[in-house]
Amino acid sequence: MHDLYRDLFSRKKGEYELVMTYDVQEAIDRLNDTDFDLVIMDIIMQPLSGEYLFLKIREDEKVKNNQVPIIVVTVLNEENLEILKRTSNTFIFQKPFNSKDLLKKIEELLRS
Amino acid sequence: MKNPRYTVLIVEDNPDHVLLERSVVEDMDIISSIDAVSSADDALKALKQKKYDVMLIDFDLPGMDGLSLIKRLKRKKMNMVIIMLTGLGNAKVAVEAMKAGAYDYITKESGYLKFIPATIETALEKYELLCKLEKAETELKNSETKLRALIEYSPDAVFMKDKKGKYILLNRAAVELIRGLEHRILPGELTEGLSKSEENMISKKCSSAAQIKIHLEGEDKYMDILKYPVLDDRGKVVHICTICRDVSERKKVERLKDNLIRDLSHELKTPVAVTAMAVDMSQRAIEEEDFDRIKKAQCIAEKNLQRLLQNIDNILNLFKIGSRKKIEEEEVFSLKDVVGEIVEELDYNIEAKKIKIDISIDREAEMFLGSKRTFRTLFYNMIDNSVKFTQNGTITISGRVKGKWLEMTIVDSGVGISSENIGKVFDRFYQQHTAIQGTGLGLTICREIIRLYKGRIKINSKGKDKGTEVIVRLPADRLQKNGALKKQGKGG
Repeated sequence: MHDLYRDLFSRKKGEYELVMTYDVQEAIDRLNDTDFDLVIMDIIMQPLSGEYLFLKIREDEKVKNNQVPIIVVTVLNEENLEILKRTSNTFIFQKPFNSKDLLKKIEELLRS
Repeated sequence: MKNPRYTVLIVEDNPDHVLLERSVVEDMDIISSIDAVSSADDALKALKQKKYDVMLIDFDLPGMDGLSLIKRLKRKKMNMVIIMLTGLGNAKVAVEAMKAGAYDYITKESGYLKFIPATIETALEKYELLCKLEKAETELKNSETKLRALIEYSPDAVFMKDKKGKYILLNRAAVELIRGLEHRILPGELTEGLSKSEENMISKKCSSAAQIKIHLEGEDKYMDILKYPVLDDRGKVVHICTICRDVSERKKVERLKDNLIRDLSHELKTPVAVTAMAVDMSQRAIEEEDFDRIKKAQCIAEKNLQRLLQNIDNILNLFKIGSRKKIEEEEVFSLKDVVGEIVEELDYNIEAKKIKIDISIDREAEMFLGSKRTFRTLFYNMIDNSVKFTQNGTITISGRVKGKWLEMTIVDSGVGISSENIGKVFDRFYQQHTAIQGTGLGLTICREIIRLYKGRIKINSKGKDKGTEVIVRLPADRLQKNGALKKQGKGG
């Protein structure tokens, strides 16, 4: 998946600064440190789950921006993503997705 | 009731009367035998020899009188029909006799003989009825004892309240539950007094079922609570019964199953989705004649298909290994070769993440007897994991013999496991959303494989960004001297 993202964003070099990680804890540390404009994440991850990351972002005060727009990219059906549906500024993309659509959404979110 | 089966004893000292009485009784179909004695003492002796169903006792007896005899018999708890015969003007005796336990009495006036059969028959009917009643009572008592024991020792907690909400029955499990919740407020369903829903239950005669979560003995437990009104035979509510069952185990299994399905669908769908997107990517690259990108896309597709195959293998193995007791398809193979093959398969990632791989397996720790396919799975998962969590670092894979163990170690300089993280393993979010304690399907397989080969696995980490060390120990007697093929018995 990381390879695909790398390819996707290679065309946009210079426009965005991309930070990628496999590790949920590292992501949380980064989010505590820096105010990111957008988060793109999967739900099923180990050892800490995506739901854990999601809840931390939205509810932990140590995180710089609790309302940061989050795009969740996952194989799961929407019915399985209850907690996410309750929140605002959260968008769901199902794998496999059209990369053009994702880029469009990203641009839209970063413009505001 | 026409076959003769009742035995009669006549206690009468006047021999003429005996004869007369005997003759009327003989005519009765239901009487099988008639004996006669002339005194109370003789009667008692006769009773020691034989059981009598009917006794005709004359009041006027030499020595102990008939009434005293009756009282004697009742004290001895002898169960039979007793009919007292008294002389005229002895009504008081007759009443006493009835009080003492006689079924009936006959006054010896003219024509009294013809009353005897009818009196005996009526008395016997009463007697039979009484016997049936006694039997039913004993049976009821027995079944009541059985039911009581059933309720008392049932593993489910049973509470019964009367209409005012006062507890009238608590079985042993219920008492233990209340005791366990002692210092906490009892959840509404289990307290005394009537709750709104219980009042509703009484008026509408409906029942309810619910599931609650309570904290007992330091754990969260789930209980199914079934409540229903108990009706009397007129259909009015007399009690409310509550049955409380611990379903925590079932809930745990349900949750594990849900999580397993989730993980499985992810492990299968993701590589397929990524491959699809890579194909899409190469389509666009062809349009733009960007050959580098085409190549990249193809690599991604290939890598993910390989990963998909490995995941499918993992899943199949997971179900097979659980039931396997013996290790199948054993051969002697080179651990070094297997590790090398895997490193090559993961080459794309290793290069992209700028990781340096070091393989050093001692000669004596190289040739291993086991299932090559299973060990490929084992190493693929472990090395893949290390690669995933390492960036710009080194991974060292080594193997050597230590005593009676073959020790394989995989050390990476990656993100490591911080002690903070280890604490988070027990975080409630984490527990709810991952199936197997923190490691995903891949490492679960590893654990199972190692267990199957009677080995041990240990994971160490000095903390965040200080890398992780995975040590796998396997019985060294599975190692073969290089070149030599030892014949082994059934797998080990």
